[in-house]
Amino acid sequence: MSTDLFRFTKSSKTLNAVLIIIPMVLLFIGVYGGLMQTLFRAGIIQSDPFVGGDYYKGLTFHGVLNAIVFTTFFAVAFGNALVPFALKKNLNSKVAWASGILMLVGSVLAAITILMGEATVLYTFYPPLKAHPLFYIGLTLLVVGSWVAFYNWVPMYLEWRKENKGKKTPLSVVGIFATFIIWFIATLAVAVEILFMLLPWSLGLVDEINVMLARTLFWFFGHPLVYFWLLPAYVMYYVFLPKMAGGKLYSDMAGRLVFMMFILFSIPVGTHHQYMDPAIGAQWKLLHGIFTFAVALPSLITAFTIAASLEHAGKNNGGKGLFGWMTKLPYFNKENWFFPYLILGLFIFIFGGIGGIINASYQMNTVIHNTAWVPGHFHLTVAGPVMLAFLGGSLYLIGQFMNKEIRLKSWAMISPYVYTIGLLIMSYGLKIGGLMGMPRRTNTGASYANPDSILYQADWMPYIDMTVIGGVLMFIGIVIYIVSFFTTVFSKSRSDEKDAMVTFPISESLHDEPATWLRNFKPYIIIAIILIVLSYTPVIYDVITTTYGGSLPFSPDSPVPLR
Amino acid sequence: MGKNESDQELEEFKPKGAIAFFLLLMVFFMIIWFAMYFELLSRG
Repeated sequence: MSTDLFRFTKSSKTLNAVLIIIPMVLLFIGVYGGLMQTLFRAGIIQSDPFVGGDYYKGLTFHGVLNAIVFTTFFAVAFGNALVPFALKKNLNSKVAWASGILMLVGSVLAAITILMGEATVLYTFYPPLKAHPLFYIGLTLLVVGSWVAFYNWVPMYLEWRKENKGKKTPLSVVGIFATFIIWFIATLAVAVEILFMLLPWSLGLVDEINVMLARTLFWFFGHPLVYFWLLPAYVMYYVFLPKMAGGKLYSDMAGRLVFMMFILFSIPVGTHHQYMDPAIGAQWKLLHGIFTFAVALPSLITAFTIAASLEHAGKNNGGKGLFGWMTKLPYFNKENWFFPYLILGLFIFIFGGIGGIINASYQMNTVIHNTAWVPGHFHLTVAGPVMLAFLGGSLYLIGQFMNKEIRLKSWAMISPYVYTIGLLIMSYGLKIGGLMGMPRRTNTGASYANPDSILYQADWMPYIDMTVIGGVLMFIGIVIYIVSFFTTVFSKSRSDEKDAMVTFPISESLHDEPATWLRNFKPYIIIAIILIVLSYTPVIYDVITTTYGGSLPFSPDSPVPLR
Repeated sequence: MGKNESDQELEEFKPKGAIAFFLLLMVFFMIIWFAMYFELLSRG
């Protein structure tokens, strides 16, 4: 096993600790918002008892803080940690701090406008719902800050390549770069949407907005966003998990192929979120559907490769027979508390994965479109493997960067189990409820779950109750985690010289193939751009030529335009 | 780990369990997908 150490500068360590602690506070506010959502939808509460405001304000801060703010901060902190560690080069501290400050200022602006009730636009911020201009400016700063972090790693990587001709780039760096290449391309569209459409409209410089064009630009970004969330988790599955389990990565080449395939197919898929939208030709929707199936392939390759790696580990640990290895993995070893965060995420992703394939199956989408099935699905992806990997990763990183021993390890170990049980119950309730017709986004507590309403649906109630039970368990799981996290943050630092170094559990590969055709990002980026142009040009053309006029701004609580 | 030992490990390890797991995963995916497909058909 290769246990590597690297000394980060004090400034980098402080920055990375800040990039983890502040979003953790925002995450907890968002998680609280999630719990309130289940209570709103069951009709148990009619307004938020602590933060104040209605269902849609809670839905907005739950989505924005958890799915956009926390994930972006973690991805940047993870890159700030793994890229210097793997390349053995220090970050340019000034640029890294500039990136961090942009992200922090942007997130605080967005959070304040949401909590003040000035940006109740949900996490998709679709027009004609209009937010305060500071909300859009905040999101822009968050994204620009993450770009700056990425630009900071590029010169380090180029320098490393010059010094290490013929050597393979470390797999962790390939994964982080794939994540941010996808992020950079995808966020260009949302930058256009915000800077040239939403912001002038929100400032009152223009009266109307083309809703269909804005939605299309959002989904150019919105689906690749899923891979921006998932890929750091994949880095942990390929690079950390085999070693934590006691084995080796079955194939290094499989990992590299998977990351390159994500660069190719992550972006020309967004229209599968718009199957029911007008103004886009069915043939282009079908094309995006086909690419969506292509982007499922790297996840299937991952399922096999990680299973083979875990089988290798389980057999090393004494497992026998076809499935005996599964019983020899460190599920309940508190010294290996990080393992459950990753293995449970993979387990949840079995259900999240097939749900995604169903959503992308063109006509089948009509069965689940705009129903509670959809949040049931994305809680099995972004709130499942992504959330668990990011929580485990945050606790690991905070221990490394603050030079602390992880406290309450049993709590840290048990938290993902409680959370996962809750998640499975909640998602089952949402998915089955969705198949029965229960809508997403709508506050069911005021209508379908209200016995006094003519819309009351008694047969949905068992599934709504399941979402409450699951939501409460998920919240308890997060509270257990937060206690362990902040007990670690406020504990005494280790003082010896060796412990001041940073380390990661980097797995060796069982098959370390040369994979010369997977060593350069350039051809994959070029092919990705070609696929994007081919798939999106006709979509944008259709939207522009078949829509006319625009929409005035609205808020979710009134059918009357805001101006 | 010496080179010979490493080669032996490569030669000996065949991920039969992972192959079986993957096949079962595909069967599970097909069951769920077809269940939804028939749900679609039943709605006319």
